[in-house]
Amino acid sequence: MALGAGLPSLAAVEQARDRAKAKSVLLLWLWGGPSHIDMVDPKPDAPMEYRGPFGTIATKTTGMRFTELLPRMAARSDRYSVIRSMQTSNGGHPGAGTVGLTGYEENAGPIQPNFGSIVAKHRGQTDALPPFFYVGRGIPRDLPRRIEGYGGGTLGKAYDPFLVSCSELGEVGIPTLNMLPGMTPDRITDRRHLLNQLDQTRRQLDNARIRDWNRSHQAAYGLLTDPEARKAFDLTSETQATREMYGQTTFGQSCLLARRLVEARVPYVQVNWSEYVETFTPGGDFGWDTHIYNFELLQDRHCPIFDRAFSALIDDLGDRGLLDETLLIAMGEFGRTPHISNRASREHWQHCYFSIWAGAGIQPGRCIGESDAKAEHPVSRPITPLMAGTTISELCGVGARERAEMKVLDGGSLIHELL
Amino acid sequence: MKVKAVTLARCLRFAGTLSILFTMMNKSFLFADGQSGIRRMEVYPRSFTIVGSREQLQILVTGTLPDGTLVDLTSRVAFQVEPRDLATVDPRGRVMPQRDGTGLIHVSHAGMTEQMSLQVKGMDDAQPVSFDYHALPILAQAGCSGGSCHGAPHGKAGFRLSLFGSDRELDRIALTMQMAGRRINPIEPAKSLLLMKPTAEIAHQGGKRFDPADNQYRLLHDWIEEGARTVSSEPVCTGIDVYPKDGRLLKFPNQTQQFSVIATFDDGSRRDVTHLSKYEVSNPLVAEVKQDGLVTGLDRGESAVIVRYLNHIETPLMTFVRDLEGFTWNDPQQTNYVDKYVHAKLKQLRYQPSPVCDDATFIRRVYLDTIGLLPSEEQVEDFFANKSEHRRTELIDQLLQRPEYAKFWAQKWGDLLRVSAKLIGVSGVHKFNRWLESSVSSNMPYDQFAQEILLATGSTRQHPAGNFFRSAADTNDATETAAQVFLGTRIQCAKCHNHPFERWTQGNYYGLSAFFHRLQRSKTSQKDEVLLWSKKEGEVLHPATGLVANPWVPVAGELKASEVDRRETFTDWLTEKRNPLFAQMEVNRIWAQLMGYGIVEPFDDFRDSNPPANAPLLKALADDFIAHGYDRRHIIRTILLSQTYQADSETNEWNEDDNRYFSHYRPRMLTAEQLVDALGYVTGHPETFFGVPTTMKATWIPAPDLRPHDTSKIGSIEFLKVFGQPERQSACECERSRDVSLGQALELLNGTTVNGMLTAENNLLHQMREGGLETTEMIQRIYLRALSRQATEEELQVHLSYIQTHQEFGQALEDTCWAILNRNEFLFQH
Repeated sequence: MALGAGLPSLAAVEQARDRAKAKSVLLLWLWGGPSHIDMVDPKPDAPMEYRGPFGTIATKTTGMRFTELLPRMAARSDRYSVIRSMQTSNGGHPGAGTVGLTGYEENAGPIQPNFGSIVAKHRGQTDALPPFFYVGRGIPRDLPRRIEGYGGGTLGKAYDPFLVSCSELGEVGIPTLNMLPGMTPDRITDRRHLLNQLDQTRRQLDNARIRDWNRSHQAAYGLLTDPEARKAFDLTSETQATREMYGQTTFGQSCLLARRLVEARVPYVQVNWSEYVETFTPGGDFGWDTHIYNFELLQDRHCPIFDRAFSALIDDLGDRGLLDETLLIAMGEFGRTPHISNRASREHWQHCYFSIWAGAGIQPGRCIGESDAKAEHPVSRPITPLMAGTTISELCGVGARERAEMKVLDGGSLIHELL
Repeated sequence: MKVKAVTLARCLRFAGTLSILFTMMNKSFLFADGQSGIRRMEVYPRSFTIVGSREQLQILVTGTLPDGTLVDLTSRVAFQVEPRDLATVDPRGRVMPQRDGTGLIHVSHAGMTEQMSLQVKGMDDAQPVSFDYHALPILAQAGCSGGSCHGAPHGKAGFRLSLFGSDRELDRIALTMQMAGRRINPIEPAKSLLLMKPTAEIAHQGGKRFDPADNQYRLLHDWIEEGARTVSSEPVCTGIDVYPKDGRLLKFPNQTQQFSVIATFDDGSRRDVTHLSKYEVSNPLVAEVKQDGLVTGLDRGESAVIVRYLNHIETPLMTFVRDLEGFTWNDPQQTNYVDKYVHAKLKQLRYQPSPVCDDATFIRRVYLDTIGLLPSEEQVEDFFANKSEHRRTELIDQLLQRPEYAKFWAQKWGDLLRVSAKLIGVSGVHKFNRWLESSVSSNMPYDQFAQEILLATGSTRQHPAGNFFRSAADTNDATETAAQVFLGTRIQCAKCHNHPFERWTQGNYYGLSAFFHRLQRSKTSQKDEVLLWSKKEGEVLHPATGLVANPWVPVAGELKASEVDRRETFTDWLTEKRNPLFAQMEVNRIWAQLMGYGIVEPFDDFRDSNPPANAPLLKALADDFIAHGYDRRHIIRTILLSQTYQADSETNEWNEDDNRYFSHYRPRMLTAEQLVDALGYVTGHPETFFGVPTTMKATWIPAPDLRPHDTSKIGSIEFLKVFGQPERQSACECERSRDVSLGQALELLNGTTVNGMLTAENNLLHQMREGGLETTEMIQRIYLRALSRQATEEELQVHLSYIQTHQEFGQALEDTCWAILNRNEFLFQH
C-alpha cells in the first residue's frame, strides 16, 4: 500500500523533469558576495555579534524566513527555490568568480569555459543574435584584475560572451556595434551594397559552411544598420509600467533587457550586478563586496534594488508564459562572514552562501539545504558551483555524453533536490 | 457530406489496392529477369544446436545475383521444418524450438532448395532467465544503460547503471537492493519500476523503451518473477560471431540485410543472441538498423554497423550502391594512386568527380596549404607566365622547399603538442618551436620525429622535444596525448569506464599508461628547464581492481617492457613498420590538413566504429609513407599532385550531395592566422605581434600566449582568438574552432583590425595613390593580391561606378578594398 501510494508523487517529479528542457538561461550574477545571513538565511537566534540588525519575515515557503529587506521576494517564494548550503573553494573574488561561473579553480589546469559558453557551443549560432550575452558594464573584476573564467576557456574565445551594457535609464550600449571613427551606418550599407553587386558577377561558392557564414554576415550587418534587428535591445518599446516595475536602476533595467533577450530566444544571458566588486572605490559600481557599511548598503540600496528586480522578473516571465522554459538563477561567488567585523560589516565567507532557482524544470517553493545556527557552515550536503553548472547544462540538454565530448564539467553531479 | 464520406472510403479502398499492387511490383522489380534471377543460395548457419526453451536461432539466407552482388533472401524464402513439430520458423527466419530432437530445416526459393540441420535439447530442463546474459544485455539494448541515460557517471534521476552493463556488481546492487528494492517486485513483477518505467506505464523521462508484448519485457518480467537471481556462477561470454562478419556490399533495391549474432561461452556452449544484441550505425544518413538486427540502406555510401553484446563489439562495414539513370562514368584522368583509389570509390558509389580547377584557384589554394600565405602579385604573374605543362608540379616542389613551409607546418604541430608559454614558458616555447621547424625543414622521418619526442631524456633545454612531457605533465596526460597524437585514439574515455564505442577497456587505459608512469620530471635551478629520467620501479594500479596494470598496447596486447626505460618498448612498438596505426594516423592528418577533412573523420578519432571513407586509399598512403621511410614531404607532394586535390570546388549534378568521398574540393574559411596574414598582405599593412620580430607572420607565431596576460584590459577583442586560434590547452585539433560566429562577421564589418589596415597612413592604398596609379590599375592590384586573379570587366565596372558616385576618392577606395576582403572568394580557401 505504501509502495503504491509513493508512486504518483514520484511520477509527478518525473513529469516535471520531462518538461525540464530550458530554452534559455538567465543568470543574475550578484558579484562581490551578497550577505546570506542578512538576506535569505537569517539567524535571529544567533548571538548579537552574528545576527545583525534586521528583523525577519515569513515567506510563502513553510519554515523559510527572510530578513525584512526582501518583502517582495518573500511574497513570491512559492515560485522559486532557495539553496542555503552553497559552498565554494576559493575566498578571493576573481578566483571565486571563476569557480562560480566555471565550476573549477583558475589554477587547476586550463581555464574552463563559463557555463554560458558550454550552452552556447551546444546550441550553436542559430539566430540573428549571439548565443551568450553579458549584460553589464564589463567583465566582472576586482580592482587588481578581471576573472579568468568569464568566457570560452577551453572551448575558445569564439564562445566568449557578447557584451551589452544598460544604464538606469534603459540606454543600451553595445561596444562591438559602436561605429568606428569614419564609419557610419550609411557607409556600411554602401559597402554591403557594393559587395552584393560583386557577388552577382560570378558564380558563388556554396556549401553548408558558406551558407552559415552568409547568415552570420547578414545578421551582423543587420545589427549594425537595421533598427529592426536591434529591437531586442530597445527598452523604449516597453510600457512605462513595466519599466518601473523592474526599477529605474542599472540592475533593474538590465534585467528587463535580459527578459527581452530571452524573448528573442537567446540561449544564455548573464546579468552582472556590477563590473567591480567594490562599493566605494573610484570607478566602482557598487558591487556586493560590503566590507564597510554592509548593513546600511543592504538596507538602503542593494536589497531594495534586487528585491524589486527579481520579483519583477518572476512576475513578468510568468505573465508572458516564459518561466516554464527559462531557467532563472540568482547567485554570487560566495557569502559574507556571519560574525560581524570590527568595522561593523562583514567580510568574505566561502563556506556557506545561497543561490536562488526558478523556472524550467525547477521545483518551486523549496528551501534546500540548511546552515548551522550561525550560518557559518552547511549542516546538510554542501552544494558547489560545479553542481550548479552541471544542473544548468543538464536542463539545457547538454547531457553527460555531450559534456564528456566537450570535455567540460568533468565530475559534476546534479542538484537533484531542485528537480 | 454523405457523398464525401463514400468517396473517401472508395479512395481509401483504392489506395489500399494500389499499395498492394506496388508491393507486388516491388517484388518483381527485385529480379529484373524474373524469379530465377538468383544464381546461388546459401544458408547460415549450416547446423546449430538450441539448448533450452528460452533460446532461439536466427537463420540467414543469402542469394547471389548474376553480377555477383549478394541479396539477403531471409524474409523472402519459404521454410519447412522436418519433423514439423521440432520447431517453428517465422517469416523473418527466427527459429523457436518446440521439443527435443534432431531434424532439418528446408529452405526453398524460386525452385532452389537448401537445408540446415537443427538439434534441440534441454526443452524440459528449467532454464531461469540469466542476469548476466539476458537481463544486462537487454538493459543495454533498450538504451537504459547508455551513456546519456542511467549509464552516465552519475546515472539519471537517482538510478545509476554501469555503462552498457560493464560492471555487473554495480548493476546488481542498483537493480535488486537500492531504493529499498522497489525497482523489482517479485510478488507482482508487472508492478516493478524496472518494467513500469520503460513501458511508460508511469512517467519516464527516457520515454517508452519497450512494450509489454516485446521479448525484452518478457525476459525481464520472468527474471523478476523467478526471484531476480544474480548467481555469479553463470558461464562467461568469451566472444561473438557476427554474420555477415565483414559486412556486405548491397545494391538498391536490395538494400536490407538481417544480421546474426552467436555468442560463445566459456563452458563451450553457443547461444544465438541476435535478439539480445544492441545495434547502431556509424552513419545514420546512409543506413538505419532496427533493434532486431535488420539493417536498411537509406542512401549511397558506407556505414559501419556497431554490434554490441555485453562487452563484445564487432563493426561490420556495409556499402550501399545504386544505379542512377543517365549516369555514365566519364573515366577522368589520374595522376597517381590517390586518384586511382578515390575514383574507384566514386565510381562504385556513382559520384562523378569535378574537373581540375583553373590556375588562379590552384595557385591560391596550394600557397595557403603549403606555406599558409597568399601568393604575391609577382608570384601569381610568374606562374601565369610559365607555359610549361609541368608548372603545377614545379610550383609544388618549390613551395615545399621554402622556409615558410617549415614555419607554417611547425605551427600545426605546435597546436597538437600544446606549445604554450603557460605550459612550458617563453624560452621553452621558442626552443620547442625551433626544433619543430627544423624537423619540418630537414624533413625528419616521422618515426624519428616520434622517437625524439617520446624518448626525450635529460635536460629539456638541450633536448627541446622533451618539452612534450612538460605540456603533458603527468602520466595520464602523457598517455592520452601520445595515444591521441600518434595513434589517433581518444583513449581518455577509458580512464573512468570502458570506452563507449570501442573495444578499449579501463584496463587498457592503465596498461598503456604503465609505459609513461616511471618517467620523472625534475626541476632544476634554471628557468623553463626540466630533467627527464626514468625510475626503475613504480606501477600503475587499476583503480577498480587495485591490481598492477601491465604494460599494454593495442592489437599486440601486453608487452614485456624494457627494464631501463619502458618508453623504449612503447616507442619501438609504435614506430615498428608492422604497426598500421602509426603511419595511417599521420597520413590521415596530412590529408585532412590539405583537404579540409580526413579519410577518417574526425581525423584523430580512429576506431572500428568510425570507418575510413576510403580504406584502400588510406592503406595505400600509409604503405607509401612507410616505403619512403616515413617521408612526410613525399606524402604531401603526392596528395598535392593528384587530380583529387586539384579538383574544382564547383559540383556537378552527379556529386553535389557528396561531402565524404572527395569528389570535389570543399571550400573552407581561412584559419585565423592565414586570414590575418592575408588581410595584412592585401592592404599592405601587416599586423605585428607581441614578443616576436615585427616581420613575423601570424602563421609562424610559436605560441598564442606570448603576450603576458594583460589584467587591466577589459573585453578587448583579439582578432586571432575570435577567428578560432586555439589556446593550445588540449591535444585535440578540435580545439581550433571551425564554427562561424556573429563576432567574426562583426569584426570584418566594423572591427578595429580590418578598419585599421584599411585606413593606415602607409598602406597599399596610400602608396598606390602616391604612385599615381590609374584607378583600374589599383583595383587590379588589389584583385591580384586578394584573389590571385584579375578583375573581370564586369567587376571593374561595378567598382568604377561605385568610385565615381562617391565624392571622397580615398574613402571610396577603402570601400572597394573592403568589399573585396569581405567576398567569400577571399575569406574562403576554395
